[in-house]
Amino acid sequence: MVCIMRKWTYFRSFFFFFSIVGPGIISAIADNDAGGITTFSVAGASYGYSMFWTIIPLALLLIIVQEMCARMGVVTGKGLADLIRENVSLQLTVLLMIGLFIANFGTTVAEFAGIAAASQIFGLNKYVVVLGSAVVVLFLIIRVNYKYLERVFLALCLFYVTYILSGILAHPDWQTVGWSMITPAVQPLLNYWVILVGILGTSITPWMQFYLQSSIVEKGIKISEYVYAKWEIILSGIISMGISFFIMLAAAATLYPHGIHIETADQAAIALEPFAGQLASLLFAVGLFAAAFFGAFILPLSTAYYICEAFGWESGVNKKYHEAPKFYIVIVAMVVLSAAIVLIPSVPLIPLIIFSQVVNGLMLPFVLVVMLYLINKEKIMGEHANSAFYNFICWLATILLIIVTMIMVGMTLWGFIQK
Amino acid sequence: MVFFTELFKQSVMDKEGRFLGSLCDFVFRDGIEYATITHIIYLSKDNYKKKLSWKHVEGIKQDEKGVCSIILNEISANLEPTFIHEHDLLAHELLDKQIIDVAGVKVVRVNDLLLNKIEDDLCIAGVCVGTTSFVRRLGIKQNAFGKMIYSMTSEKVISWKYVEPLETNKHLHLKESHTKIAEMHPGDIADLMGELSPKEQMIIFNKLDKKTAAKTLVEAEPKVQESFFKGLKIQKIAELLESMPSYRAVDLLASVDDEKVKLILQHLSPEKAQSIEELRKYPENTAGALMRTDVFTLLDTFTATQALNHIKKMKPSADKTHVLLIADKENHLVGTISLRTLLNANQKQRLHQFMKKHPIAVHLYATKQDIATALEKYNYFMMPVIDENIKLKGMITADEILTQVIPESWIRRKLIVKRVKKKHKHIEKQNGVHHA
Repeated sequence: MVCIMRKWTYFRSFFFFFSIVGPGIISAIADNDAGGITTFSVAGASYGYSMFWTIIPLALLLIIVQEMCARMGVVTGKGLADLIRENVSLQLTVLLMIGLFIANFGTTVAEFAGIAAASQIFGLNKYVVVLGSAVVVLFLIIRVNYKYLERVFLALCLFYVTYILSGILAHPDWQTVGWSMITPAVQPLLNYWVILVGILGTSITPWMQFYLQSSIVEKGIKISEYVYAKWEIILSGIISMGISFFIMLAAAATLYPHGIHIETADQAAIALEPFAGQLASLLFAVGLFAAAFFGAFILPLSTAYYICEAFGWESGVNKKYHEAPKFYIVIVAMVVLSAAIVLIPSVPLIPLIIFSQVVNGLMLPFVLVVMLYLINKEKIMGEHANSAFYNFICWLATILLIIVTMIMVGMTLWGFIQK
Repeated sequence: MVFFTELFKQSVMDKEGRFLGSLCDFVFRDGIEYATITHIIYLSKDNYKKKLSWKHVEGIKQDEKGVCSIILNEISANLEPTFIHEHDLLAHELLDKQIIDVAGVKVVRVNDLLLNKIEDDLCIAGVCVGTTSFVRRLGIKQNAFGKMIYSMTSEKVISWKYVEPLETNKHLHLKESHTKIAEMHPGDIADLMGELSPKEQMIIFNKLDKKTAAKTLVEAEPKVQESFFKGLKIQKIAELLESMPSYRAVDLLASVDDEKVKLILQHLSPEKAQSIEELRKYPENTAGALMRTDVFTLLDTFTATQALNHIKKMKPSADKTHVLLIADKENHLVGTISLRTLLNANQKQRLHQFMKKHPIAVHLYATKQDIATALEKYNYFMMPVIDENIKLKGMITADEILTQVIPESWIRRKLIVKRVKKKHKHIEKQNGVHHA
């Protein structure tokens, strides 16, 4: 390997880019997990092309938020949880960690539910598939070196290509699609807003920030190489929202014109078949399975990482159980309990998932405000603090996000109470 | 004994019991065994942070509920508080930061500080890193519910003696005069490095002296070596490579791409650069690539006395004196001799008269398996390496070959040998009874 690399000096900066690739793309793409796919396909099926205008602003927002995290990681060499504990307060750190644990646990449950749903589309026994996936996830996390794990993650990202194919197979009207991308078409319907907020909440999640910053630190990217990391983030933001676009497209081009309403991603996959063909439907389901598996993988792992990081416990997949017991307990507990909850028939899944989304929504403003506080602190960031213009955009975006998430939290709670 | 958290935000009173403000920090002077507190800092009633020398402190009083307060030995009118200076070392800044537990070879996060009275001074005796101090910091009271939580926790205190800060701000300079890490074995430092982020690794590298840094680097995992070449300036890298034997430098450079190697070699002395270049030509895993070139030889024309004097003068390391290599003027390997034979020989005899002729050696292109087999067969600790003209080129020690031939998983296995050292006391306490 080394020998080959030596000969290819022409491609050095190209290769260099790929040695840095990973954190940005993994965290951006992981947003399109089981929950994300559900939200986007529901959006497409319910409102056709009229939600496509959100894609571009969301991509920008995603890039801005991720860029700040990456910059903090590169400049300080510390994870976000570390920085909060050292510079804000221990109490807030503990609160955030508890919140993140609950939210991530709920999301992991949602991922296993996604695995179960996808396996039913393939006609497989969901007990076997869910248990099998849990075992594979644990095996990969515990027994495999992180360097290879990251490659597994990147390989899983490739499965998202299936969505691009299903989107194209749905034969959308490209001209209308293009036009709707740039014309905001807000509908004065309560449900429209609920879905809009859902899209936002699933695209920018608090755990993603923690994950991204920690893995940037782990890679040891220097400030002189930061430009590569920045490009990765810009690219992955575009790719991530591009995939969301195709998921929405598949549903909007086929289900919306026929007025078919869906509530979950697996329903979307099944509903696709008569209109876009069996292949598109199958691809959609494969994508759902891969996405859910990806999430079930990365959420427990990253949760364990930043909880240990914040509390000063030993952590790391390269350690043995007796060296870092708490780290492994968190991972195993999250995977095993989530898989169990999905398989026990009487456990109410939907309220649990909704609850975790509410916690996620409540956390996001705190995390963003704390991030903006940290990134503007000269003691921490030195000359790499935000510029005034950048700050203006960030605060504007943060305030918008806060308003929107507050609406989402309020609405989910309202909907829940009504039921 | 008292914890910093128990004093934090408690009241500071003068001699007559007048409330001056609440304690918010301590200024301390660092020391080897403990850090002495020189000033207290309190938030006065008019919201200023004021600094007052420890001399004015009468003592710490504790009421029946366990609440502490600081009593001064003057009335407030006689006190002249000052303000915090930017170079003051503040106790509060140690909290929540990462430190290196030098004795336990671990990076841990500080939850609390253990203060102890030593003679007339209050001192920071250790840092608390256990879960009890974590829960205490969260402000959980010792009521019925709190007791339950506390009972699930345990405390661990690391003596100040074994604390080394890991920070980039002014606390980095805290202990520059006596870096405690330097006392650790390079192998242990290398292990520690594996657990740190690249940025933290650089902080530690910069704390080490050249020799320890070089040894640490040799022992470190490839991942750490990689970030070393990435993270440090070329001059610094060159300096370190210069201070180690060429064969070690070559090993390290194996993970670096050619262009960077060229750049690094330009910064080395011409002799060093040349010998590294030469060694780099040998294929991986052959004697030429694995050998060390700093061979110790005796001339075959030496008398026994001359030979012994030469050894005394050159002070070769132990692994080079198990078997002494004897070469002629053109550096051809002509014989070997054991130190025992040399000591017992007639002091006027010349070496070639009583040395063991036809020595065993391996060729430059011998594989690591060949060398291992040869070492095992002849029960040697070391094998000389020669070229086709029997010229001595280097030597390979058994431990180097051992590193090469044992499975990688064995190398990564931790805690194989117990290091014999004075055990460092962890003050493990059951919670609840803090006050002595």
